[in-house]
Amino acid sequence: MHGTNTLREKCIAAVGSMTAAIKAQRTLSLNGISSEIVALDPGRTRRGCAYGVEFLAEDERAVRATLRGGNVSVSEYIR
Amino acid sequence: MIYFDNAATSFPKPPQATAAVLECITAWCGNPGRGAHDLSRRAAEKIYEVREQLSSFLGVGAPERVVFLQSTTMALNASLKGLLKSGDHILCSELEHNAVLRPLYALKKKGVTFDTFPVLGRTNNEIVQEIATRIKKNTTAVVCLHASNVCSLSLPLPEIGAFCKSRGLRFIVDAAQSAGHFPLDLRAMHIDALAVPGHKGLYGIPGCGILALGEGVTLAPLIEGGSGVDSGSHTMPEALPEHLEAGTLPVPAIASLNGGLRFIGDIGIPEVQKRARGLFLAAKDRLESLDGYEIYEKDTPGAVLLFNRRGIPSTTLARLLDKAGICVRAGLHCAPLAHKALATPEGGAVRLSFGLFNTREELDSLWHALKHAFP
Repeated sequence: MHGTNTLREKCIAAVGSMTAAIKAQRTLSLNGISSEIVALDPGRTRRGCAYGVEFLAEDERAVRATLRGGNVSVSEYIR
Repeated sequence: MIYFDNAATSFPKPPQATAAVLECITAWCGNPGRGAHDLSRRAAEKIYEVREQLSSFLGVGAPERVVFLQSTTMALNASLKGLLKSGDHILCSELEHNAVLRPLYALKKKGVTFDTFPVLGRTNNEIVQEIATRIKKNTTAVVCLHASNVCSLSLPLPEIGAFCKSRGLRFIVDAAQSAGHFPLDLRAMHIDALAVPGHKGLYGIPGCGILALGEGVTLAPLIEGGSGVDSGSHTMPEALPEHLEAGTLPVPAIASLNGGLRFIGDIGIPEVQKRARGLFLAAKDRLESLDGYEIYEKDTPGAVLLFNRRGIPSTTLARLLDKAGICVRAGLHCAPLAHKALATPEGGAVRLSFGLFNTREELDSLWHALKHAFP
């Protein structure tokens, strides 16, 4: 998989908490997917302050499958 | 100074725990989950590592179901008040600590009823039968300690858990005296809510209690407040552990658990049990070699030794030992029903509770102090 690169399109998996974000990042890392924990703009989510893991958009299909398999609940994917 | 009050809090703490605290407060003690900057994120990652350690150590199966609160008492309050509602009936053992009893008395005013079941002198099967005969149509849960804080008795969690599962009852466990001393496995024991102290058998510093929840168990939060997420909402976030963790976490205390768990892990639970039991038996031998002492539950296979000198109030005896440099706990140990069941005098009894730093030479000093006080 690819490392995060500021010049390539990114995608964010929004999750319910910092704990969930760490779990998501570790789950992805175990599967060779690089990601970064980010705080989300409160205006971008339905309920205010939130966290997510940012990854390369081209990894989205793999990320969705990996997080689903790791029982990480994702509230939404933000492009 | 000789310290025989490890049931209150373990002392001293191992170097692994103190080093973990020092590293925390000097290197990474940001506020976890409050922002995504470097220090907050590093703190959150360290806290998550301890959740993983505890999830594995307690057989929880998921780090997010390890909730950090301020104490075991708060974890028990959160469990009882979060699970029970008006009209429910719950059973508890006759040995329970006030951390269980007082929430139950408070819930009684809100329409929850409870009964106690006897355990002293019963076999494991008989204890389960005592529970079964007290089940009512509205019984929804059983709450009990794993190991007594007053005497050497422990309860058969696998059997009680299996019974609760077969009857569809919630099973809440107070592991204040057993975590770090006895094997615990939330899933194998069918426990729904497990309350654990950080500062006793896990050798962390005071300030952190653990509430481990079974899969699918949801509680109403005991308190509400900041969580770092969902700030626009009027309610706590739905996801665990943040659902139950309002306010800033006791980060240094949680950090100390990293060291405490490594300390316990290096020794191993079987060895911890063996050492404590050895000290119990050695203390019992020394007391039995003196005239005038009564030892309670002396033949049960635990490691908390309760005794009295006949005709001497327990607090007087504890004070004499204190003057000889020996720390013990006298009185009712926040467990009045247990003392009633054990038939100790009105003033309670003296408790010796051992830790991994106690030695047999210290028990010799106890023997000499008693011999000197009552020649």
